[in-house]
Order: sequence, then C-alpha cells, then structure tokens
Amino acid sequence: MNALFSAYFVLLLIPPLITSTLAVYAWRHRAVQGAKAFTALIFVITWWGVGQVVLYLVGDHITPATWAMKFLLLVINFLGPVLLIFVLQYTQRERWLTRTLIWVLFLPELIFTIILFTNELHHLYWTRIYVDRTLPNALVVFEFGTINWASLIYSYLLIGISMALIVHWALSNSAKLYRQQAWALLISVVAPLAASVSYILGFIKIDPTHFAFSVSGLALGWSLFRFQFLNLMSIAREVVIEGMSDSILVLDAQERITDMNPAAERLFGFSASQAVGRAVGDVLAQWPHLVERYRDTRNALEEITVGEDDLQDWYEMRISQLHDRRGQFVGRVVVLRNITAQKLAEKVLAIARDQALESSRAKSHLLAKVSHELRTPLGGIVGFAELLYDDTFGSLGERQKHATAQIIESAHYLTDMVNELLDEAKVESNTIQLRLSRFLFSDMFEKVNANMEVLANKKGLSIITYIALDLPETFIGDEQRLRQVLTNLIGNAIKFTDQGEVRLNFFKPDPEHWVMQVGDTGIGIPEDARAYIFDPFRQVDASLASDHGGTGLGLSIARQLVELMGGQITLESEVGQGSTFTVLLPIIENQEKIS
Amino acid sequence: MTKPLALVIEDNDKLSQIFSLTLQTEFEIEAITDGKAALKRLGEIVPDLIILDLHLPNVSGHELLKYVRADARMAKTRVILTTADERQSEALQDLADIVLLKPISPVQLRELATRMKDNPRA
Repeated sequence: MNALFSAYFVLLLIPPLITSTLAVYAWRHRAVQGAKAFTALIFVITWWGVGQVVLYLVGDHITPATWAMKFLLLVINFLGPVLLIFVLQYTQRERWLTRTLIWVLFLPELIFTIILFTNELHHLYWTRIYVDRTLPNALVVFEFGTINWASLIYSYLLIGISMALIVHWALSNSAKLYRQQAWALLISVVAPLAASVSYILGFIKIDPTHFAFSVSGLALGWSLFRFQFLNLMSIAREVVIEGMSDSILVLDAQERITDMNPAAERLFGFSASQAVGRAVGDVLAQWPHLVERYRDTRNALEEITVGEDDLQDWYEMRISQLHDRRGQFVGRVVVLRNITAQKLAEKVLAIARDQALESSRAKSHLLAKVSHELRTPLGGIVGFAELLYDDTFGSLGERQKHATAQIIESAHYLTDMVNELLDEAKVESNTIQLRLSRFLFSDMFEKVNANMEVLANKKGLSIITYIALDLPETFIGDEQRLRQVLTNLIGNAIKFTDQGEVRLNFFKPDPEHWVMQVGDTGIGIPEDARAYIFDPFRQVDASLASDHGGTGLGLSIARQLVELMGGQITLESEVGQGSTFTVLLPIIENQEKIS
Repeated sequence: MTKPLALVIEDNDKLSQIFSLTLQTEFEIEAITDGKAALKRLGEIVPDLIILDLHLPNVSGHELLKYVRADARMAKTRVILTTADERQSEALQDLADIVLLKPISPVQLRELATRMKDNPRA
C-alpha cells in the first residue's frame, strides 16, 4: 500500500464522517418539517461513503467485495426516490406526496434490489465480476448487466427530476431566497452533475459521484437548516400554537379535522391522533348546533355560548378560511378562546351599574315626590300666613304681625329648600333640559338684581356692578337657569358677608366666552374646603349652616347647571378677605349649533 | 259696576279658601272642587278669570284648560294655572296665561289677578 493509496483512504473517510455528523444533527431536528426526509437522504449518502471505505478495505477479494457491493447498493439504490421525496418537501410540494406515489417511486428499485441479491441465479444485474489490477481504487470490477443499467438510469431520472424541481423552485422563488441559500442550492445541483459528467467523459478515473453527493447533501443541509426549516418563525409559531390556551382546529374542505393543538384536545376530549381525519361533527358531537350553524361560514369573529345556564361557557370564535397557492379554498382554521371569566365579570359589572343607576333614579324620584308633596301644605301655610299678615282676618297687633312675618319667612325658606332639593334631584338624574332662547342680558340681570338688592340692603351691604362695554346685549341660553346660577352666587355672597360689598363683574375675556363674576368681602373659604364646596349638601362647617341657613345645595346646583351649559365655575378665596366666584360661559352664536 | 267673575277650581279646600279670600275684594268668586262639576259649570258661565289647579278629581285641569281654550265664548277669559308639579307646569306654559308653582303667595296672586282684570285677553 503506497502513499497515494493512504491519501486516497483518508479522502474516502471524509465524506461519511461529515455526512454522518449531518445525519445526527438532522435527526435531532427531525421535528422541523422536511428534516426526516433529509435525514433519510443523508443516511443514504453516508451509507454510500461507508460502503466505499469497506470496498477499499476489502481490496481484491471477490466474495467479500461482492457482498460489500450488495449491501452498499441495498441502500444507495434508493437514493433517487429518497432525494425526490426530500426535494418535493423542500420545495413545498408535499401535497403531491401521496402514499401511491411513494410506492410507485420505490417499487422499481425494490425489484432491482431483489434481482441484485439473486444475481447468482441469473446474472441480470452483473454479468461478470473480476479483479482488475490496473484500477487504483476498486480492484474488483462489477460488469453492468441490464438491470444494473436500468437501476442506474432510473436513479438518474429521479435525480434529474429532483434537480429540475430545485432549479424551478429556486427560480420561481428567487425574490424570497437569500443569496447564500441560492448558492447552496446551485452547488447541490451542479456538484453531482459535474462529477458524473467528468467521470463519464473520462476526465477522472475514480467515480466521484458519492463525493459529489456528499457535497450536495451538505449544501442542501445548510440551506435546509440555515434558511428554511430552522427559520425561527416556524419554530416559534409551533411553540406558540402548541402552548397556547386558545383551542385551534384545522378543517379541510370536506369538514374533516386535519390538525388540532393540545388546548383543542383538552376542550373536545380527543387526542389529535384520534381526531385527525374524522368529520368535525363526530369530534364536536356535544355541540351539534354549532357545527350545523357554522358549516358554511368561512370567515367569522363571534361570541358563542355552549352548555346550559350555570354551566354555560362563553367562547370567542374566529373562523378563517385557508387557500392554496392558486387561491382555491382548501379548508378553515377555527380558533376558540374561552372568555367565560371575562363575560362573568362583565355581567357582575353590568348588574352593579344597573343597581347604581336604579338607586340613583329611585333617590331622584323620591326627592321629586317629597318636594311635590310638600308644596301643597306649604301653600296652606304661606297662604294663610300672608292673608293673616294682610289683616284679612281682622287687624293684627304689633306682636301678632311680627310672629306672622316669622311664619311667612320660615315658609319661604322651606319653599326655597324644596325648590333646591328638586333641582338637585333633577341635576343628579340628568333630567334637566336647558331651554335655549335669545334673551336680553339687561332683562336677565335686572330680575336677579331687584331681588338681591333687597336682601343686600337688609344686611347693610351694597352691590357694585360693573358691566363691560363690549358685553353683547343679547345672549342665547337658558335665561331662567342663568338667573338661578346668578341668584345662588349673589345670595351666597350676601349670606356670608357681614360688612363691605358684593361686586358683580360681567365681561368678555375672549370672543368665544363671557364671564359672570361675583366677589364679596366676606369670611372667605379655607383652602381645604374649596375642594368640596361644590359638592351637594356641603358647607364649610355645620355651625355656619345654622348661622346662615341654606341647604348647602346652592353651589352644587350652580356648578352643575354651568357645566350643563358648557361652561365652568371657579373659585378664588382668602379667609377673612372674601371670595370670588367666576362663571365662564361659551357665547352661543347659533341656536341650532347646540341642539 | 259689577265685579268681574273669578272661578276658583281647586280640590284642596284650604287652598280654595285662600284663593277665594285673596281675590274677593276685586272679584265675584265662585269655587268648585271637582273637575266634572267645573266642566259642567263652564258650559253655563263665562268667567273673566279662572284659577285652575292641575290635579283635580274626575276631569283634569289639563282637560279643562283645553276646553276653555277651544270655546270661543271664553276667548277673553284669563287662566292662572296652579300646580305642585314643576314638569307639568313647564309643559302647559303656552296654554295658560300664567303658571304658578305652589306654594302660591296670596300677595303675588292678587297682584297678578288685578293686573289681568285691567288687561283682558286680546
């Protein structure tokens, strides 16, 4: 054995070492789609490489060499079909891979292989086996018989088809291919071709085909794991779909289940292996109405319920249709998400909301009813007291007159309170309707001022009014409610001011707004009270209420009315110095605009 | 000169009494507490002023008001509507001359009625 032959031996070892490593790697990643076929392919190529080593070691002993060759061919005869199957998968043509086709592909080689093992009987595979010492590698020569030729031609036919499919696929997907991937594919096609051609044309004396196939296998493996099936997307997707709590069902066009994830297995009580291939109606036998109802629905996003009453479950169901590359409908994906917990929470919330609304409505109703019922007896009190005061029932002495005046005042106070309670009830139940009309500012103001001046004078206060020159003469608004706001604010100012004055300012801070401002020199409002002063039934402190009277509703109603008008009310105050309430209102140009 | 006729239609007898007392110096008063009786009486007389309560037994104040407004004989009759129900009062503002929300001040009522007596409906 000379040096040249030792080098050749080392060279022989390289391909099976590389391809067997690749085979192990591929087998570990067999979950990746197409990797199993690839493992088979690389196994065949490895077998080929190992066979070459064995043949080399056997040397010129005819019988062992014959057996070595037989076992070599036992596997590599199937290179063609295995390669084609892998390529069909790799180029996303799995749907061609029917059981029949696989049998058709393997059958000829099976027959050829049987003939090979019975060669001694008929010599159809090899016509002659002899030792040729002029060749450097295989000293034993197997002379091709008809069947060997047939097997070879058949293999090359399938290999040729495979190469053509790769080229076609690479060209039609060129936009989606990475540059390196394209190179890898090109090498995988060209290497065996070049090797075969070189050998056949006599450029090389040693058959390099299995070297070339090792190179092809490497290139394909690189391309497969680097760029396609090891694509993170597909793995991530698989993990997500397997792990997700939503149930996923894949149906084919004939309503048979073709896939389901573990969540769907749990939901329907079938394992995927039991369910796949069965009609959806069988698997969803508990839910026949759903199967019926959505039989022809290709796209939907709906909430559905299953089960009865307390055991009812809610699902959000999404149906999406699937198309093949030609746009043909091939099936549907159904995703079911259990939203029962969410639905129950919504239900509880809705009940709570309804109860809150109902209780608010009931409160408003009660207030309205009470106010209404109070009006009639109040009419009796006010009526008789005023008639009494007017000497309708004979003239009164000084003390009787004074007492009667007290009755009248109390009754008026009670009447105010009833009115305010009613307003508060209406504001709270959102039943106040503004009645917009164009009114004269001077009319509105005079009506308020006339009443308020009497009140102010009684306490020895003066009301100082400033009306800006550019204030419009007329406004559109609810005159009555505006009067109510202004009356409340001025009444409040008078109530809490013992000396000094009440200042009224009316002006237009910008073209879109106007302002009513009521300032006083009264007791002021402490900072902590400013936060709640506009809340219903709140006054700065309870002792003040007894001193000054009032329901504590005036400011609350004023604020709510102002807000209803689209304005806002603000307060500036300093304890002992006085308070200023500012009402900012939008100027309504056009009545239609608001209604 | 005879005093103008005021018809007080009010089912609460205390209020009816107050309204009558309030208006007696300026008006001839006739008081009715029942809606049906009021309807019948309105077919016979033509009051100058009606003090009309909305809540009445048998025939409502609303019905009576519509009847008065539809009858040409009472074209000049003034109607002061009295009610404890604010929403109703707002709804009927156009049919009545004035709507007063209870409690009603006799001083205010007298002033309004006197003014109306001097300015009958056009």
